[in-house]
Amino acid sequence: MIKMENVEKRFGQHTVLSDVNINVKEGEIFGLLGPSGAGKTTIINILTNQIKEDSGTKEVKALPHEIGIMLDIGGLYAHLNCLENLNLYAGIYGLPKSKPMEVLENVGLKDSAKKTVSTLSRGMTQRLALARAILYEPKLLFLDEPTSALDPGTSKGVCRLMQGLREQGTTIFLTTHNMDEALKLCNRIALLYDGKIVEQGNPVEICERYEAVRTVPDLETVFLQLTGVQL
Amino acid sequence: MRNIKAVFTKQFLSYTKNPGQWVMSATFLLIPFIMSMANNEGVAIFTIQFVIMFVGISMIGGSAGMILEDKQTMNLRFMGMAGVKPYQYLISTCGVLLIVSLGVLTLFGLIRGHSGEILINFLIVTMLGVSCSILLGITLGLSKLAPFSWLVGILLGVGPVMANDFGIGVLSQLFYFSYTYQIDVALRGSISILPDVTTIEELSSVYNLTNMYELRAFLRELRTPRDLAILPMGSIRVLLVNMAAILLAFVVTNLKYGLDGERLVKLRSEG
Repeated sequence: MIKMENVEKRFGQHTVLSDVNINVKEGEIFGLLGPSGAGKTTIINILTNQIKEDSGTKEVKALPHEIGIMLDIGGLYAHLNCLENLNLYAGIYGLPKSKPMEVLENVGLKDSAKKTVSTLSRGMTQRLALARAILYEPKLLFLDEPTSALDPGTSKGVCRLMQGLREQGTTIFLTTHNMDEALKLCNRIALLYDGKIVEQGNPVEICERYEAVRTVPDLETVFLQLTGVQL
Repeated sequence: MRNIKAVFTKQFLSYTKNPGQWVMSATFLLIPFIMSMANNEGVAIFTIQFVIMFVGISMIGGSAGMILEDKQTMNLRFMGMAGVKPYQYLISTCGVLLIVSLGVLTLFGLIRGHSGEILINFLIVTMLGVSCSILLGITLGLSKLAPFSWLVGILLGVGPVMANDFGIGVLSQLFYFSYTYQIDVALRGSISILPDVTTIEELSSVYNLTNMYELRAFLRELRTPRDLAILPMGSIRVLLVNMAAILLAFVVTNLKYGLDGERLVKLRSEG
């Protein structure tokens, strides 16, 4: 579904990505893990054609209208309410009028449907951004730290939602800081540090490879061994 | 059509639900309305000042703000990815702004006591100005100069008023080639303040010069396909349609009043 080969990206003199190789298969959840500034969002921006790579190649096997993107809280109008925000895309995609409310219910925002976005908490706004991204059931979904501002309970709900989407055949490419989330959710992960992929594969197998399985697999230890820094 | 309807609805809600967008228009309308009740003789000039400010400040700032919001929230890109064509987006956005301004300007015309043919003439002249402001606002909204759109609006909205009402010659020379100045002069002509108003050809050339400037700006946008890849081609299409509309309006006006505008001047003097 997604293929990146030897991708490099520089901003001025600063190399943000170097020799990035990623291969995401259809129907899987792929997690990109790394600290802030590692280049995770840059990779999403390249894959969604918002910026162009300096060298290397990329291939995304989905048409633009089949792609859903959730970048932080982007895509929302602060002075419109939740329903009005979703109605825009429901109208463009020709979805049934009941669909936005259905999706709001899925992300736990049904009771806040008429609330203006500017009055929502950070976590609620993030859920609404997710609702906007999944409204039209995209074939490929890019999620940039979808649970970063959520409480543990809501975060679990969002994870269940992602698993449900995978079961429906949606391919999910997500970035996260949360190692536990990556372990539970992702079929495969890539560890990104300083613009380079330092390890890639099944999360449990990676943990075993670095003997980071004590009582439970521990990706934190793997990252520390590979980079010398903690996430 | 589905896309136009969806974007139009959103833009209309955006305009009506964003106080920053409509409060200024309402204020520009409210002050002359109050003045019209207090002083009937001075209201004509007073209304013109506010019409020019509405056309300049409110419409340039409003259209730039709308585009900027869509750009900053990344919805411009998401809409493009969802299949919204550039011309569909621009028709919807400009449509909302044109409808809102038509309503506001009709009220301005009624405050001035216009009706029938005079009201239609008033609306033709001012709506041409609005279309220029919208195009200018969109250009600014797309560019890196977006934060300065209100400043440009204030300059174009207040400059001609200051030049004409305070008799500042330097400002008159400076703003003469701005479309807001030309509207100001045209509107004053219609109430016989300045009977030797600018001719229709002058007005036409100024409008078209403004549009040419905007066309150049859109062409420059074409060279930056990274950002807002969906917009440039559509902008040009809408711009061409706009220019055609302006041309048509002037052809109709010229046929009606004569190419040298003499009949219009006469009509204004009589009016």
